[in-house]
Amino acid sequence: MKGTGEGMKVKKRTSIKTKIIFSCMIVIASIILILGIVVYQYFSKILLDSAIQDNEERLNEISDQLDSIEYQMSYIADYIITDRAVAEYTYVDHQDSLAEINEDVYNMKEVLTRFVVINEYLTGISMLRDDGVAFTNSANLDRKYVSDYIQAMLNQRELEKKENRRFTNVHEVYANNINKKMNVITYIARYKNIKNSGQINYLFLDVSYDSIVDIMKQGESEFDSVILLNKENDVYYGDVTLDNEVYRQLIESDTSKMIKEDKYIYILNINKNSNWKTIVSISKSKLFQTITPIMIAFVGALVLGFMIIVMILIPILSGIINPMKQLTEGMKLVSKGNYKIKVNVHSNDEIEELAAGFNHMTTKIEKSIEETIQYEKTKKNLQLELLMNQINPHFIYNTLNTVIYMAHADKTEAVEDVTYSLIKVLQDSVKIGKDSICDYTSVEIEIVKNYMRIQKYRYPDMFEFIVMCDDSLLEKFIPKMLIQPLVENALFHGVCLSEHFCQITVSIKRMTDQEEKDRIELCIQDNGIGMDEETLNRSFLKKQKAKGSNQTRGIGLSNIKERLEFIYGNNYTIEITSEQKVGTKVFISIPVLDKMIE
Amino acid sequence: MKLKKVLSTLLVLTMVMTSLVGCSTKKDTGATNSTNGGTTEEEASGDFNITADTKGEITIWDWNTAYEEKMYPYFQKAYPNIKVNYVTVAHGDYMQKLQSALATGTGVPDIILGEGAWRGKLFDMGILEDLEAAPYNIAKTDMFDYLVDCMTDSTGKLVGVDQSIAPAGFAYKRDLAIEYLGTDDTAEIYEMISTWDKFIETGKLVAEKSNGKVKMLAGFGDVLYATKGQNSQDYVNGNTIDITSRMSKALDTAIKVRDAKIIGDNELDTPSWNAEFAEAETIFFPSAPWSCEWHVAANDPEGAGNWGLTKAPESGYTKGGTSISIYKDSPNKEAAFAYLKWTYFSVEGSVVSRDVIGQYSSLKECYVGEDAIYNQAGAYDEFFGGQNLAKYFVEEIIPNIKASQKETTYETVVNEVFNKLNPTLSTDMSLTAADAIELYKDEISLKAMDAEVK
Repeated sequence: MKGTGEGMKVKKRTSIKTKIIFSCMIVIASIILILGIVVYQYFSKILLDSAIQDNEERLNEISDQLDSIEYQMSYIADYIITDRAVAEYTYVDHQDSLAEINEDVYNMKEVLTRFVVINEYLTGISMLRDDGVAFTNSANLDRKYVSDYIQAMLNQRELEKKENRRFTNVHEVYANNINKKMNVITYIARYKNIKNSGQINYLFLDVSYDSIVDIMKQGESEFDSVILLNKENDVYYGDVTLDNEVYRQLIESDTSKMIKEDKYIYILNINKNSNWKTIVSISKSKLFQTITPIMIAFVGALVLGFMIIVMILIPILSGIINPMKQLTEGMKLVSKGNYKIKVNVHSNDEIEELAAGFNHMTTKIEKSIEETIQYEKTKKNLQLELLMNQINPHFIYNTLNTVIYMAHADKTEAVEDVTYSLIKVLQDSVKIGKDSICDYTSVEIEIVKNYMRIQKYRYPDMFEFIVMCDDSLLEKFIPKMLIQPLVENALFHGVCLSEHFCQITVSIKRMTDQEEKDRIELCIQDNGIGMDEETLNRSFLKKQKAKGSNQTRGIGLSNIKERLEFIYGNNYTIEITSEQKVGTKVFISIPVLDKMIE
Repeated sequence: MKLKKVLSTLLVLTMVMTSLVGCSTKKDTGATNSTNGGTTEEEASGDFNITADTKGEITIWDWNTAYEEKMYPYFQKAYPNIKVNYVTVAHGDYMQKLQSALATGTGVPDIILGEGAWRGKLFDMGILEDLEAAPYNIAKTDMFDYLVDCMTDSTGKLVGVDQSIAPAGFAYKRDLAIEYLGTDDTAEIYEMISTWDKFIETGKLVAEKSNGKVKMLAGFGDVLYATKGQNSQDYVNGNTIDITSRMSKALDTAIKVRDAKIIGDNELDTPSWNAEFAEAETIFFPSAPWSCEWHVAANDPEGAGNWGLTKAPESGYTKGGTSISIYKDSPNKEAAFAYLKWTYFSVEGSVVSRDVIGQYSSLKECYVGEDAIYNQAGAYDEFFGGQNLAKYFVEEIIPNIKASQKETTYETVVNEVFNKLNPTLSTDMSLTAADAIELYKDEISLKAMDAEVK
């Protein structure tokens, strides 16, 4: 039991509650961690993809804006080409005079201006008539300038046979009415005059390069770099380093595509109408920057979730485990001998059953211990009873023999005396068992006296018997059959074997002990032959049975000791001192009993 | 898109509400305000209560980006809560763009510019605020007298103030003047060209000296523009356009100069004409104050110090000049007027204008007393060899301007015809002044079908 108690102390340092909660936390944390990692990987991929997609869409927006320029230019070109006034002024049916040409040039200026003012990208329009006359909307550009300007554009790259429309490279032109040059890209359209399909005219729509720069600048704020090239790979915007393999690959590509590199993602978008190529690069770190807040929120949510689970789980586990704790406490008390403890658990589960079992068990143990005690008590009493009731038949036989002997010798008084004493002794035997294990000191003295009267007839002139008792003790109780067996012992083991006349003394005295309680001191002393050490020890330890014919009952020293222990616990002493040829002394000290003990 | 529409509607509503609230509070608190010292009297009669806190966002269409680039930062210091959106529109496209904006009802600017060539047509459209009336209260007497007619529509309303004064003299290249005229002194040179006859004589001498290489002017347009301006007069009477009396003398003189073969063959304002400024082939270039930046310095960046300014033959005239007006349906008239007044018609603005773009206000007040703005050098004085350009323009040329005329739609028609016929007149040497008048008559008849052309 001691070892188990220590074990429980160790357990208390890491209680089962801590263990269960700790294990649960580890399991949940592991699950969340693994789930988190998997989901993180999954979502970061999705988020990254969607971030790339966002960028692609943004790029598409830019491309669409650029494409809309092409769309608008082709639309305006169609309008101008099919405009009746334009067709009229650009129709050559004879050799025009200088005044007529001036007239046409002037009129075209007005017509073309109508188209310029309605479009935000368009800064100027010029035309080349089949006969080489140049027109422009610009009020301050003379015909020579316009002719040179047109020729320079056409010289940039010749239009292929089937190619009727395309954009030029970035170039300079005098702004209309503003004495400044500005950058434009020009949309060239080659067409046939609707009045005469034999006449090939050229239309030149100048698109403000600044508006393209504005569009690209928007992109520059979102991407790490933006590059714009036209169909012929003239660089409109951005810095192309052709020794960069990626750019080379992208520029040579015919379809929109994406190339992912270590640090950058490159996206090429080819405009649907104009076939302009927009290439942007996005640094991966920039992409991650956009998804990092989401990921931090995700991790935060996981941690928060874990904490919420912990907060919910601890009370639940505590609810389950606390009954076990109660059980443990109960068990500890039981181990200390308290079987009256009851554990109060209403957890509606196995532990409640366990607690009920525990309670049932303690009740049962308590009951069974009580029963055992009762049983032992009864058993002892029965034993005692048996012993006390068992009067050795040899004793009766010897006594009756003595009576016969004395009857033969006509010692009538003696016969009467012995017989009376025998009857008293036998009466006592009959009385024993009905009453308790104690009796008045006076009664006990009487029994010894009757017994010794009989023995005195059997062993005449061999001894004298003296009883001394404090009067105050006569009405107190002492164990039954305590004095008689000791006197009998003294008679048979000390006196009868002696060759001289002996004395047997019984003294019963009241004494006060150290704690000022009254005690009875009982001393049975003889001056017979005494005992050696071996006999003395034997008489203490071994149970004796009424083997010999001399013993009245089978009560030995050991039986006396047991009974004293049963009645007084440790609160008694018994001492036997014996010396050969000197005598034996039995000393007993017991508390004074005022009441009968059951 | 729907949301955008709702938002923009809300925005417009808010702006209208704000301006209404602004107007009403003005009337209540106007009398207590005196930030713009000197205008207290006008406030009592319902003047705008313009202070440094005046708020608003306005749009202006301008072809000269110098105002945005150089003037606007100073305006922002004076009015930090007024935002100006500049849209660059070429003056050749201006009318058509304005007409399409008015037709579609979107994007009409709050401040509208009027270039000389088409100002009459603009004024007759009836879309401009009367600046003489409350709450603007600009007095005609505050501006140079010769400009009043140029800023007045056919009904007599003052609908604009001049962006800057635009009296024209002749800028000349000092090195060529010394070489061919023997002097670069302003007065001495003017003596040689004080009449068109003297101008032709001098020109012939120069041609002789330079073997015909050096010309007096770059093209026919320069001459006709000058003579046309010098002979300004009211010639429109109801539906009658008396083009003969309006243009006869101008064409006579111009064709005389043309026939003397002392001028170049460049069309006015073309790239080749602009290129002449840097070439050593032309002595004179008609110049108003704005031309100093726009033409002289821009086209001859290496020519600093090599330029001088003298008067044109016969008399002064107006070259270019731009009216600044407020659109009558502008939701931001107060902010627009704050911009208009500070930038073009205030002493503070004029000082800045002189210093950063070398242009001069038409506000008379700027030229009075010791604080007169020309008492300090303007931005291009140094370029003209230290000549005090503003003082010369104001004291020598403006008093010399003899005549002006009201701006009408017919004036714009005449200007259009002028531009259209110039290339023909300058190249077809066979055309006489009488032929030219006939051409004018024909063209005007075509363009102004309802008018009687004399």
